[in-house]
Amino acid sequence: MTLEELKQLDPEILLQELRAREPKKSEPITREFQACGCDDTPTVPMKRLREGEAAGVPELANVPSGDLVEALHATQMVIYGVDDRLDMYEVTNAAHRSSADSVVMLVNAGSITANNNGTSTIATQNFGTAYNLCSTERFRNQPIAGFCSGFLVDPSLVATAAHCVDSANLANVRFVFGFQMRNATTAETTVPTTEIYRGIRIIGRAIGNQGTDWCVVQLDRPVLNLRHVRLRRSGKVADNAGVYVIGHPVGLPKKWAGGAVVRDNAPTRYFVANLDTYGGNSGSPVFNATTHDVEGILVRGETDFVFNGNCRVSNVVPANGGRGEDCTRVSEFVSLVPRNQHDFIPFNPTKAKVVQRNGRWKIEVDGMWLLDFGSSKAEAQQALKIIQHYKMNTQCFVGRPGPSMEFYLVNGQAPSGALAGEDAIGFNPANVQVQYVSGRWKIVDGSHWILDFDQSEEEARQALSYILRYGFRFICFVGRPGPSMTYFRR
Amino acid sequence: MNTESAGGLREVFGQAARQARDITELAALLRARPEVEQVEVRDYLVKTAPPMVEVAVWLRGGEWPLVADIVLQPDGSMTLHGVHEAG
Repeated sequence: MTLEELKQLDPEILLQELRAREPKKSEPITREFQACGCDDTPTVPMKRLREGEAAGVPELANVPSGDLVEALHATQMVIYGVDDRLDMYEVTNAAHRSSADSVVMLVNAGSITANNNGTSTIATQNFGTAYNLCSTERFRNQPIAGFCSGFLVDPSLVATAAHCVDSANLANVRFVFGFQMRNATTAETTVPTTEIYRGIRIIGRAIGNQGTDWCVVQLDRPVLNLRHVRLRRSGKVADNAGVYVIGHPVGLPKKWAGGAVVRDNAPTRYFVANLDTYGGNSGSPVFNATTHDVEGILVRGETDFVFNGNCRVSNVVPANGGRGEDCTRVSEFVSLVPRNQHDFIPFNPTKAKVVQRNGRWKIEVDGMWLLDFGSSKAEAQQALKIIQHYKMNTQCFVGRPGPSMEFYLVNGQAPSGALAGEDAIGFNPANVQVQYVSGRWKIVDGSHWILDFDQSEEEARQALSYILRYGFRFICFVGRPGPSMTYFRR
Repeated sequence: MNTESAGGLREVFGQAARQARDITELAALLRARPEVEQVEVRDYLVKTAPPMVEVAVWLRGGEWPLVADIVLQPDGSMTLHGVHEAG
């Protein structure tokens, strides 16, 4: 059969024959990786035939594998349609570059070496060598390192797939930002140690029920220099909506891949898209191409590679073929993620003064009242002293009216230092959590509760986000019990 | 989940993964177990690096399957990553 005749065949037929030729068993090629940070036992993946997939196509039995691959490539059906993956240095769309900020690679702790100069080096392998890739494969000269992807949903929270992280491997996972190609030939394999984070707590995780697969991890400290994503908060992605994905396919430096659409929107807990993704993309954010909100988490999908003779090439399916890539809907976990719609009011502390209006003592700034102390002039004077001592210039709320949390900032930072005689209670930010206690949502530090949010989990999670983001270590009061002013400081 | 059966099944999965030459054989080994009623190899790859195949097993008398994540190794061997429930 000639190449031209092959190009006329259904690509699925060509693919079926290629899959059938995949070796049942091969010799070890190079060191291997263990998935999910369990240990560093070296392995490399090889896609296997699954039940019902073994049959070849008799008419193609004598056709060289290279011709089959060339026929598939010639019909522009690499991956889903054309291969849309780009390195980040090649991405010019500002919104896409901004989206990429949030994306993190999950790496085994043992793969990272501290250089004792403020940087750390990630152990890598050559992609082409490790996977025995054919010379035509893109990115084959790049390094590979991680086992999954993830993304920032809040300064202290990373979302990923549940099969990437669980309580058993969390301590052995490192979250590395900045693993990407600097240019066509150089990868950033040495990164500032400050760009590497640990997970300290699993905030939520679910796997299995109707195909759901997600995990939200709290990091050991907030990520303050990178953007976190915006999630869809209600409804669901539209049928046929354009989507793109950013992640670390096969543990490669960060890649963008677009040109995809939602092609099955029926499942309740996930949707299916024709995204160009590989093992290692698990946990990648799937963005809406119009709004740039995250719609889903990439979790599972089509076979990545097939054998072409003795080397591997990317699996090729028509843009509307294959089984598609499953993406857990963000609605599965969005309730755990703060909205971050900040309710912050700036004011000039030098203009703050204590006044009495209609028999009530208040602190006013330029005619706007900040605080109301009722009949207590002493508390008003104490509060003014505090504002001016710390030079507080932003009043912040969670849950107005009737805020469940109130705090103050100084030029966008937490007040720091101390004031003699202030009523301050210390807590450990590493221990504070949102918990549902006796029918009420609270922020607790061990067995002590710090704030009470009644039935509002959303407000509790937003408040915790602020505590972690600003590094608050003390909650302080004026006029307990029934304080007329509450503030936090480092 | 019946914890005792899940723990036992973990051992069975691990042993089958070590013995089997491919995922089809692994499924056959599991089907041969007296406590196993049905085995289903999922038609997708879990997209970790390296990728995993999910094998769902219904135990006799069980309402829900248990799902084993089988890591596909480069030399054709397989290892058990974990077992979880499926709804």
